[in-house]
Amino acid sequence: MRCVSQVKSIEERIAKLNEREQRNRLKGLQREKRFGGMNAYVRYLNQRKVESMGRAPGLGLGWQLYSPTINLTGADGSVIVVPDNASQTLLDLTRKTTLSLTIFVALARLGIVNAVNTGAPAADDRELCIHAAGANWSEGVPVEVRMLTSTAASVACCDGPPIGC
Amino acid sequence: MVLPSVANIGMPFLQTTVKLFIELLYLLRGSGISTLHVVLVGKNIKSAQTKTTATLPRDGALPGLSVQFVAENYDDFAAQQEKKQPAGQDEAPALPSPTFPPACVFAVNAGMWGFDEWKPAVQRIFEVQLRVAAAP
Repeated sequence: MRCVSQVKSIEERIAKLNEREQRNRLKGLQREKRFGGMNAYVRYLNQRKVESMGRAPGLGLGWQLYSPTINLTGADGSVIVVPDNASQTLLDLTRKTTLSLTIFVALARLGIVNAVNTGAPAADDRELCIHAAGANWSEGVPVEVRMLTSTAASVACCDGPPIGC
Repeated sequence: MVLPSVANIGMPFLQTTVKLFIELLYLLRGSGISTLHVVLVGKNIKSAQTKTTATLPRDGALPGLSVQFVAENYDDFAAQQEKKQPAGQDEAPALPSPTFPPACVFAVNAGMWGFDEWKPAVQRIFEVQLRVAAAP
C-alpha cells in the first residue's frame, strides 16, 4: 500500500513538471512570435553581433571578401544600388581598400607607422617588412560574397578551401 | 591620382597581387617608409608562384614595393629564416635581411578557427616577435 502511494506521488510530480514545461514552452513560443520568431539565444546573438560588429553589410569584409554591391544614398534620400556589372573598378576598389585599410590601421595601432599622413616624404626613411601567414593559391583572386545577406557563419564558410600556415 | 603601372611585372597573378597593395602604399606615404616588403607564406601557394618576387620601384613620396611568395608552413619558414640570423656575439654579423624578421605578421582569412596546424605557427610568431622586441 505504501509502495503504491509513493508511485502515485511520483507520478503526480512528473505530471506537474510536464505541465509546467508545457506552459513554459507555450510562453516561449508566444515570446518568440513577438520578437520575429527568434528565441532568446538567437536574440542574444543578434544583439551581440550588432553591438560588436556594427551593421551586417560590413561584416566580414577582408582580403578575399568584397561587397559586389554598394548602396549610395542620394541628397533626396533615394537609395541607388550600384549593381554587379556597373563597374569592375568599383569592385576592385572595395576589396583592395578593405585589405589596405585593415593592414594600415593595424600597423598604426601597433605604433609601427605614423597614422598621421602628411603625404610629404619623411626624413628618416626605412624599409618595412610584413608577412602574410596562411597565404594560399587564391591570393589576389577575389571571392564574391553577398554581404547584404551573409551571416558570420556563411562568411566563415566562404573562407575558401582549407588553408595551411 | 595616377596608379603605378604593373604592366612590366610579368606574370598576371603577380600583377593582381601587387595591385592589392597599391592602396597601402598610398596610405604609407609620409610615414617614413621607403620600401614595403610583403612576404606571402603558405603551404597551399601554387608551385608556379613559389620563390617569385615582384617589385615596384619607389615613385616620389610613394614607397617601393616587393611581394614575394613562399610555399611553406609559416613555422618552417620562420625557423629557416632564424637559422640564417647570427646566433651569438662571436659570430660575424650577417647582412640584415629586408624580409626577416617582420615588423608584423598578418593572417587574413586564414581559417584559424578550424585548423590545428596553426598552433606551431602562432607559437613561432610569438617567439620571433618577442626576440625582436627584446633586441637592442
